[in-house]
Amino acid sequence: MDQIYLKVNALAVNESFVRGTIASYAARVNPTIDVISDIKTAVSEAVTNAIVHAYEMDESKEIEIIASIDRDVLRVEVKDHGIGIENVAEAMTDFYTTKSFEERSGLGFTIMASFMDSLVVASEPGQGTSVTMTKKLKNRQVL
Amino acid sequence: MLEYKFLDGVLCIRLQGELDHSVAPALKQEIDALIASDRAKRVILDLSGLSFMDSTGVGLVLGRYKKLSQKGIPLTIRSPSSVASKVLQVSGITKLIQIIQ
Repeated sequence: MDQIYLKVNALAVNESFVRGTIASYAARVNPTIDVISDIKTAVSEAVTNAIVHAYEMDESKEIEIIASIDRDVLRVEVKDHGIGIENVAEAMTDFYTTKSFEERSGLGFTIMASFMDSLVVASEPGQGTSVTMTKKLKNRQVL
Repeated sequence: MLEYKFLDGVLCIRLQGELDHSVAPALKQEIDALIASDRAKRVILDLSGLSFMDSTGVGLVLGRYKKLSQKGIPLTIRSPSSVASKVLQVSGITKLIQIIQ
């Protein structure tokens, strides 16, 4: 099993640290720059959601990130123990945001879904949220 | 992260580096202060120097667009980097704001 595990505080500066770390991890199987770029964006969205929504900027809280690579497919799970989402389907609607006054665009899940191959969101109000995404790192070469 | 110049009533703002939630609040303040100076008849946001952008950046652009629209000042995005361009496309912002190369 090829897996990494990160636990970081809910600090905005950790957004770039986590997306950079996951990108470096994925780079070991030589994906294209576009694939790496998509992963960075999607991971950044998930971590930002945890900081802004789940923990509402409480920097003492922690976010867990578990990433693995299995046969050229990257799987990333971003998990928090924050406020949770009452209605996941509604939260995943394009432009839906609870923080429009902060100029949040309501596009986080839209971007995760379109930049990755799969996206699963599991949430329990008061317990937390887990976002799991996968992305094929490489198309098999035909010899 | 931000460079700007006024030329014949056009305010050109160039953003550089990684645009995410850790830098957006300070950037918004800087841009809004430039807009509030009322010297601009038109604003160009040059995104060619962005090496990263996520939906927080979309929120920043949309927020500035709304503020400027209220004053009747047009906003144009210039030469978005490939990373910024993809996020802008997915966001649908391209239907609202003119993008030039």
